[in-house]
Amino acid sequence: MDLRVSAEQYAAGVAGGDFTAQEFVAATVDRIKSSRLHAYLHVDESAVERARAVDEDPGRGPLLGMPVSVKDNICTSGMPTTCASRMLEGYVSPYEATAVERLRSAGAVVVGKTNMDEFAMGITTEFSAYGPTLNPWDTERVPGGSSGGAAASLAALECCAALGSDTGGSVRNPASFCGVVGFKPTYGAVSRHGLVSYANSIEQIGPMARTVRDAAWIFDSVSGADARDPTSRDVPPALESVEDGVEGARFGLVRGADGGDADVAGAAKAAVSDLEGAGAQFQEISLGMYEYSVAAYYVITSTEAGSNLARFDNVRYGYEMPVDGYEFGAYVSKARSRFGPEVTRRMILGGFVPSAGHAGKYFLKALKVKHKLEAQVEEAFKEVDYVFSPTVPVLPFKMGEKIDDPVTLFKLDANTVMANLAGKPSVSVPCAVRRGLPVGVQITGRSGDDAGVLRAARALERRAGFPGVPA
Amino acid sequence: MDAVRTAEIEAIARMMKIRVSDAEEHAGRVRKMLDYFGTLDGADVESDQIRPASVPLGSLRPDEARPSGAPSVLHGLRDGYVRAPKI
Repeated sequence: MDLRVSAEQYAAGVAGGDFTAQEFVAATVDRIKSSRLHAYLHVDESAVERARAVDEDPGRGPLLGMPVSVKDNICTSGMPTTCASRMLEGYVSPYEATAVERLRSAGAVVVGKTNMDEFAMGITTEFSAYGPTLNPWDTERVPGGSSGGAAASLAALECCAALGSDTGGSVRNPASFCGVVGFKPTYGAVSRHGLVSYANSIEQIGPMARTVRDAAWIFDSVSGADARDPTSRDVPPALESVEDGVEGARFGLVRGADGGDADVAGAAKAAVSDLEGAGAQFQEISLGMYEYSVAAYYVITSTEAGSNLARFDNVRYGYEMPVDGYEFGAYVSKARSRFGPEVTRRMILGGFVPSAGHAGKYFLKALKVKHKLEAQVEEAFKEVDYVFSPTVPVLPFKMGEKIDDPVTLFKLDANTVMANLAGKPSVSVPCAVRRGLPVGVQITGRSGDDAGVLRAARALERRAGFPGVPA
Repeated sequence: MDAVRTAEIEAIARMMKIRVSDAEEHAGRVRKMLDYFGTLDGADVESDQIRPASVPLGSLRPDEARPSGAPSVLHGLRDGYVRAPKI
């Protein structure tokens, strides 16, 4: 069974009788189980049976039993949702995220839950409590994060599409490091119902796939207003216009932005030429708050994390730890010793930066930077249709190389956090291979123009000639 | 900027009910992070105002109890109540 097919090719293969959903899903599950990449934290043993049910009733949706992976901070019924944390070890959600419900309604089969940095706090997947995921391009290197398991599962042909989540680049960063497409939709375009909150004012569930067309298809399948998330909204579909090109489109390059190291900068320059060849025009733009966006992002997300993670007191749900003999505060403190070191630090930061005496220096200033950046981005979008940059300024690096240097890791988010702070749609699309490793570039657009962003990404994909994943 | 003392980090951790096994190590990394956050001092935003987002009450879903399967996943459930540590 050849698993190197796009999501569209998969559906065509099942519809045309080339193979059954059951055969394909069974081969996918076998591949996952024999893999040493550790992309998955949990494999659904009923996946093959679910695929068989689709074969027997093709009316179950256009995805026709397509094997998809779901990041482990997105709730699924019947499977654990641990956020890659010992704090939620064995926890099974009683309900399903809207995005997962919609995928299943469209005929997808969720084959498992993918590895991630604990509670999505990290960009390498090294902060998973269950051990890191390896990059399929070079297993000594990180796959990016925090949706590193999702990206690796795609690059290693362990699913046809994936759902990740993106708080400051957590879909786009690993997509770039693993040579796949990662899309962060407009804030609200995909319901956050069932996404375990980390920094809910800016995070989004986002589709990941091996092609832009597949990402657009999955986006169309999960997007739209949801009564269970009051921030959600309808946006136009993406797939129907994804081949319309970028003739006459205006792209902005942020003055002073991190253009990346020599390999990444060279690949990004070639991508600019490709887009120009497709009819796009480039110009420089100014975003004065850009250089402060990473610091503002981490202050805001730490503050929200400090509040959101306060719910994990282990009393109503969590892991087994008897309450007998404990006073409430002592119980909670002991139970929370299962949080990993990075989560612990972010929670401490989340208590510190908004506290009396420090809020003016940190949290309130970060909010002002966010609001000013939003205004500057709106102004920029009067001059251009898209903002272009490398997704991550460096190539995938070795495991352990940067884990002890939090500020260096922070700075790798330099190009991705803007889209989250401003609520804009943004996609990472693979464009080149340098030193045997993939390079992704990022295209960000106006709120609600998710279709336009994916259209631009498709125009680049057509010209870039990316060779595909290595598996 | 003033260095954040280990004792201050420990105090915040206590308030947040987080047990810190190696306060000094955490404090070192937290200090690095806070030093980096200090770059915000360079942002020209003093005269800017924070614009709180507002949502009309009518746009929110009704605040009403709805049955769910949640109790089935609650550990420590006894006679319909969650057993909690004494307060």
